[in-house]
Amino acid sequence: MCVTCLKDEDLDAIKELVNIGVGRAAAMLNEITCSHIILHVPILQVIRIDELDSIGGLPRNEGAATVKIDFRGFFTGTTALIFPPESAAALVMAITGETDGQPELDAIRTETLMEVGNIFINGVMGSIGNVLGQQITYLPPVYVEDTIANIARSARFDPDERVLLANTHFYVEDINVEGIIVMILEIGSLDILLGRIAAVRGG
Amino acid sequence: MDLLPVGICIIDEGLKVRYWNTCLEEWTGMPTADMLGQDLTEHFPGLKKSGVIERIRQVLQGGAPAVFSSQIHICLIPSYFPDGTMRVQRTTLIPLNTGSEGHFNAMFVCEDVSALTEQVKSVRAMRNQTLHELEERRKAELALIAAHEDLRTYLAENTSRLRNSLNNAADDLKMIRQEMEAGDRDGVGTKLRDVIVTIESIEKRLSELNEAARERQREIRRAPPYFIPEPRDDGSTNRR
Repeated sequence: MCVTCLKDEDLDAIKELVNIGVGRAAAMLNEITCSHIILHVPILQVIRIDELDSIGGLPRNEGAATVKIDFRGFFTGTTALIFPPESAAALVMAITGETDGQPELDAIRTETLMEVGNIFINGVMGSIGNVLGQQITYLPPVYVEDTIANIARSARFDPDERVLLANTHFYVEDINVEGIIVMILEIGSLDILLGRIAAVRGG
Repeated sequence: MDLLPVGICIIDEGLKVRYWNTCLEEWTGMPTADMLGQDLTEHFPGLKKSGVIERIRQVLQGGAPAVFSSQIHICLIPSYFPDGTMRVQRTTLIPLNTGSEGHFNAMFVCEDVSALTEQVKSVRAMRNQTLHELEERRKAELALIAAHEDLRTYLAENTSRLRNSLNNAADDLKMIRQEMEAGDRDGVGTKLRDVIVTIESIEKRLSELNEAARERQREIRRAPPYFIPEPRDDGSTNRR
């Protein structure tokens, strides 16, 4: 696919799709936390994997608490939910009603965070799955503390490969928690997605 | 899968049990023969809860695997230890392709995280206790600094008062000596008595200071040491 030929209307369509997915996921998070979620507009970029380190708006801190789900097959990529460590612990404590102790992530809290990430990411991927109309093969969710660039590398993307990066910042108002949802799509998968969007539009 | 040290159960889209491994037999006391073909949610009604059943159905429709954490759910398929305590479990639900287009089974993988949970709770308690002790020490240090400052002020005030009294007594004695050398002995007795009274009051004040210092020493000896075991509610001891 000629990535430079990606039209504005294509990007807008994907942006809308991501926005719908993130909106669904935010509604679920709202239900779990009983807090208002403020969503920012998704940012879409076509970049090389090795450019991820220098992309603005993504945490470069290796301690960022991340839950990711990889998907493979005809539709390949990774979707990750990223929190600063303090935000992650505060979120888990708000959900489980813990009031005592330090807001730090331990083995039990990371497991809870993984469930939250799992629900959130499934919400996002659900809207994409609906448009694709085909079965996506998912791997189980994984918790990692690393940069998004390293996570993408570990997902076996070729460093020279161009990918679609979609990221949305959100803020959980009452508990002062911020996070980012990031989706990295292989260009081949982007092609499939655009094809399906065109089909849905009747184009 | 029977040999795995985790509980494994496979259900079909009708929620009927297709597979029930030895580990789950042992944990729940429910034999495989009794479970096969049964509706899993009838045996474990907790699975019907909102927020659980929808996610099970999503997996049965081929959605992404679902994780049910031990902190939120404790366990999806409840089982107990011989002493009656509940086994804490982390459950992962994975879609399994049946080979028939668009039809999926769901595999429950239940891991026993009871020991891990206990260890984490214990580490959290130790950490909180350590932080509490550090805070107590910090407060004690601040109190010590304040007490030290009070003591310095007290000593400075008393030393100054005693020095003034001694200077006055010395001046009075010099004056008495000058008067005696000049042959003027009138009123010397009275003046000497006044000086003696001054010296006696100095001596009394010094004795009071000395007694105050000794009493403080006795208080310090009577105070319990900072790090001694303190009994806890459960009968065990905790470091103070």
